[in-house]
Amino acid sequence: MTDERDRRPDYGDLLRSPYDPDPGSGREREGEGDLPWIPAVIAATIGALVVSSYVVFSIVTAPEVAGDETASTSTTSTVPVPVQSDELPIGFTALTPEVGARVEDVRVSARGTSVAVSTAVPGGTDPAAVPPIEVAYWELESDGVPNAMTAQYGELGVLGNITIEFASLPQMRRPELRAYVAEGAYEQSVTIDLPDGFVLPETYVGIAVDMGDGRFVQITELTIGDGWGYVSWVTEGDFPAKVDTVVTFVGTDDPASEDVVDPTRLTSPRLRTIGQGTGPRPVPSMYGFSGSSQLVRSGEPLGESNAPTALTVEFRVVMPEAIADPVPVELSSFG
Amino acid sequence: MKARSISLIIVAFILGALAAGGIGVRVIREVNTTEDATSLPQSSSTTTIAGLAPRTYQVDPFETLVSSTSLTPVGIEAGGGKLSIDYDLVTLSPHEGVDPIEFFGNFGAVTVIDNADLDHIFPREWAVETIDGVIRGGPANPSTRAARFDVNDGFSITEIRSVTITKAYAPFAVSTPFTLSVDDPVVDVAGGVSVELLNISDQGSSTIVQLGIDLDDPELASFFVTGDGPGWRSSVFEAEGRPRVNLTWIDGELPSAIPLMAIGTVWLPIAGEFPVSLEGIT
Repeated sequence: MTDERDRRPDYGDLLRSPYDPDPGSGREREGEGDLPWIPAVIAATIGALVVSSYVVFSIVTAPEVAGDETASTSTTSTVPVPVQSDELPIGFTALTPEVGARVEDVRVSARGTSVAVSTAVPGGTDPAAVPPIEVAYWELESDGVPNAMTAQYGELGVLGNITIEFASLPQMRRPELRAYVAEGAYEQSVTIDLPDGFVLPETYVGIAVDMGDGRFVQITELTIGDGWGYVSWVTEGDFPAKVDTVVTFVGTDDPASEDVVDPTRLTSPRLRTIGQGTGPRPVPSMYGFSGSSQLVRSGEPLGESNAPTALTVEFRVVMPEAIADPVPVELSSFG
Repeated sequence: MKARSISLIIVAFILGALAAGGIGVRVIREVNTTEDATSLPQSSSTTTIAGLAPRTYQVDPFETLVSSTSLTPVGIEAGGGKLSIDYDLVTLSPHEGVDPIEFFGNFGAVTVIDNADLDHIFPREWAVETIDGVIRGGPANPSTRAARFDVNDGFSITEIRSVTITKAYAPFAVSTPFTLSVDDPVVDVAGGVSVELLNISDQGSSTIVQLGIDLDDPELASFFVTGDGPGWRSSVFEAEGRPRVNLTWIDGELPSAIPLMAIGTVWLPIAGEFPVSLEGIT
């Protein structure tokens, strides 16, 4: 059965011009050559309006930032305020809870190897309230062979900086510096009356200070002049010590003297009394296995009017009560 | 309306939305940038750096650590072709019970220098980077607490980009035994310090040994020479011009290898360069 409308004439075909394209071409078929631009423009406009509305809404309803409490809180956490450290400065190795050390320089010459070490306290600690580190001795290992120090010393005016001397090690391989910190101190003071009949200068040998348990400080030489002196010593029994010497010229008291030191004495430099001339600057004592020192005069020069009638000598010896386990101090950059 | 037309409308809608969205994002960024300039970081930056540990200091928040000393700039001044940066030094070295250093002057006068006032370091060479280049300078000596630089007359401190200590030294004691002889009259006792036997003369029963001390850099060493061992008596130090020492030997014939001891201070270089902050200067 056929619908009546299907039999209606195709007026399009009737109206087609001979110049019209071939209807077989799809593009030029009826109704499809006219794109719907107006609806497309309207759609684009609507889309833009919708999104713009959302943008405006977002800006208007965004939370205030300036002065906002939340923002302040985040600032505190994002820009950390510097804080005082309670630790040692970078590069320092803790020798004790209160003092650290760092190697600053190593110098090797034909006379020996010299290691320069600085010391510091942790942040927040008053360095004037912490005594200098007392290292019983240092050890410098090279290629697996340990070398004990030959001396360590500092100087007034050079706070906390220690110079450590070793035998010459021209070719250090895999060097390692170790500190053996002294724990506690034991002091022994011995006063000896030197024999009568002295004629200055006089030299004495064979004096020993007994530190107990088979340990002695041997005074290898004590020379006393009329205003100068010299002492050298070595420990026996494998322990480090600090030795100070005071020689007293007995009978040189002068009641009329206004000098602060009466009677006249010779002392280790660090015991020199203020105001008694010039000379080498006093060096703080540090532990060693041996040592020597020029003795300096305190008091009036000796003369015929105040010639000594006797000599006494006091040796003040300090040794560690104990020695802590070794602490390696970074040295690799100098190897 | 056919399917093709509907597709075209949908595409047009999306394009319009995207265009508006792009403009909107730009607008939002502009708004936020303006607010950031006058306010504080946004929550987005919080998540980025919240994990940073706070910077620590030993003595002062704006310090520079050199060896065991804290250096803090306390003043800066430019004018007349000069730039000067004043600084304080605070030692971290433990020194309870350490006597202050004493100098003996004329008529028994004694000058005492407190430990806090010592020259703990010598920040000798500084580099100031400016928009036009690098200016080099530094303090004249260890006791000076000001680094000075030659700059143009119109120089302003606002031109400074950065300040760095490029060479610093710390003092260490030296106590070195050595010998001199007529055949070997000059000995290097420390880096840049040599001692020369100048003269030997008899004076009654004593012998006077005259020595000269040569310092490659007088600012980096301070030395005294004494006799080593018994037999030596007084010594006289002459600091005018080239330092000289006269030693008196009283123990008979002077040994051919004269035993001596060099005592003093050398300034040893501290490895590294040290940035300096000027932020703390008020």
